[in-house]
Amino acid sequence: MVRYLDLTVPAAPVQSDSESAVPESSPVASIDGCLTMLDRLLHLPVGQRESIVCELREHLLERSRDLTLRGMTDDEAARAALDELGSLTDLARRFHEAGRIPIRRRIMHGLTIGCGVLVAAAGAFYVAKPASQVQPSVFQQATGATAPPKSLEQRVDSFEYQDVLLRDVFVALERRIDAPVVVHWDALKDYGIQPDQATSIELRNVPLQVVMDSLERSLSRFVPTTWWYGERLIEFGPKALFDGRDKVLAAYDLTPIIDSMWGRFETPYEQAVNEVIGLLTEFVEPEQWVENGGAHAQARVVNGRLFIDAPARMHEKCQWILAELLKGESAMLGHGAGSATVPASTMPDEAARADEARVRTAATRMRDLFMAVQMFQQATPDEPITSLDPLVDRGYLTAERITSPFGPPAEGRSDILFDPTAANVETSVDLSKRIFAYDASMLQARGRTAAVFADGHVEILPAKAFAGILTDAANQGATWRRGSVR
Amino acid sequence: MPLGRARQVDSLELIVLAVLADEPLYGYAIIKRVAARSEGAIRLTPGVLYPLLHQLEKEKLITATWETVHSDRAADGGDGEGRRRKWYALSPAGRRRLAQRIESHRAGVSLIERFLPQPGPHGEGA
Repeated sequence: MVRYLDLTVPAAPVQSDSESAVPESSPVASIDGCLTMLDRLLHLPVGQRESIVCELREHLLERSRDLTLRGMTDDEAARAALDELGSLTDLARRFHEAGRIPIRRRIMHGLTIGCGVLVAAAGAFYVAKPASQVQPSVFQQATGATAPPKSLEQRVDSFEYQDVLLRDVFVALERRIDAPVVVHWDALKDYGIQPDQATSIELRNVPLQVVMDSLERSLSRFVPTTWWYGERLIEFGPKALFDGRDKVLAAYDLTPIIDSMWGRFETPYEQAVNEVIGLLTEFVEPEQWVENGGAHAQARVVNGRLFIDAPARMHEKCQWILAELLKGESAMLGHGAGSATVPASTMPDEAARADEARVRTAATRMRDLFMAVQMFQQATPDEPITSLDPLVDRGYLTAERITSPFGPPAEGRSDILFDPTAANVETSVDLSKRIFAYDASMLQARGRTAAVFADGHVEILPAKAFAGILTDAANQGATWRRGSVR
Repeated sequence: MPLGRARQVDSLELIVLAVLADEPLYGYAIIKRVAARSEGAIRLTPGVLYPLLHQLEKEKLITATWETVHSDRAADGGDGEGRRRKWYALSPAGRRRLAQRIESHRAGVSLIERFLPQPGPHGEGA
């Protein structure tokens, strides 16, 4: 029997007592309110977010002081200082981009690695290429995980702990396995996972590996987490920690694919290269690619050779895609009786992973949309919102943020629907049940939707549950408008 | 003619590194120093400067330390409690980067000068 971990996240600290609390309408309160919104938009580790918010707070307070010395009132000065900050969504995006390697350095890296591959050709490992497969020339092998110890296959009668510290669960696990277990708490703390947080787990008659996988799945609710076995050691931590270790630099010969695309569709070289790279960065763990804002995968084509620097598991998927592209040359698609048909081939789990990435994107967009509307209403309380286009026009959102990652909407529909009245409902309405916006394209395409509620929380809801919530009293009087009327 | 975005970023990086070469400064002080030295011609906004400082720190071109400052100003919500200010200083790697940038910048300016008409004895052609 398996029951998943229940990780109790410590509650946010309670506001200090009313005597020292800053009045809601004070300049400091408006600065703090703005920075709270920025904190929510910054998808960075906790330590970095705190540092950025703290620094900007000090800047805004000092700037406000200077402006009052020039004759402004405290309120005017605080507003002016906040205006100088500009759009919070743009600011958050710039902080994210600042964490990426600058383009000129990526180019330098690409050139350096390209030269390195040529120089190291004598020592490179090359595998003879069967006609139907695309084998890489590997310059740099990952240190790589090794096969897990046999002890993980043994079953445990019972692995049950109620309201214990999370670190004690790992200590108990280590006692059962004949290998040390190292938990990267420093890295996990950046995502809010603490060793002393309360935990419950109940597993019976399962292999130890299932215990490991349960811990991985539960921690992954906070940050993608994995466990790694190498050097006779089991390590737990954020996936990003091991992705760097697992990276492989390999070169693939793209010329058969490029030639095929020219021969069949007269696709020019550059377009063919862009389409192949686009295919890889869109379907193979899109969030990992540097060009999508990730940190662990890069691809570049030079002279018909595709260089990919990425975790080993991504190379497997890239190879599959490249092999499929080669298959296109010899496959025949026909119609009617007696014609050859091309069976659909799917990489195990890959379609599901790509879909889950789109679901996460949809949820993120819902949250960003809610925050942007909050800021817009605070800045222009007298301006009614009839569509989200003014928010795009004034820089609160980009046009992409009011679209669904599940493709363009069906004819006559908008992919995002929102209820502007949800932002100003009676206080007696349960905001946690009042829907503010949802992804209609996702609902149509996947039978579930990402929805943000009037209290700001986001849920992924199956169609049936979503329909049920719509009938709740909290959603009476809701009027749905299209996110974009363009 | 407006600079392309990459050139703007490069120019700002050069300016910020050059300012920090003189002495350690915190963000708002960098904004004021740049405005003063350019006599108002360059106005660094916080939305551009702080992400740039974040990037430079990640690249280890600058180092940062925190200082607690005290304010008794009521509008700061101050009750004597300290605020934290982040100071930046140029690192050795930052000094090398600055030197490279300066050399590159001067070489570029010198090259372009060759294509510009030289000023005549009365200033014409300048």
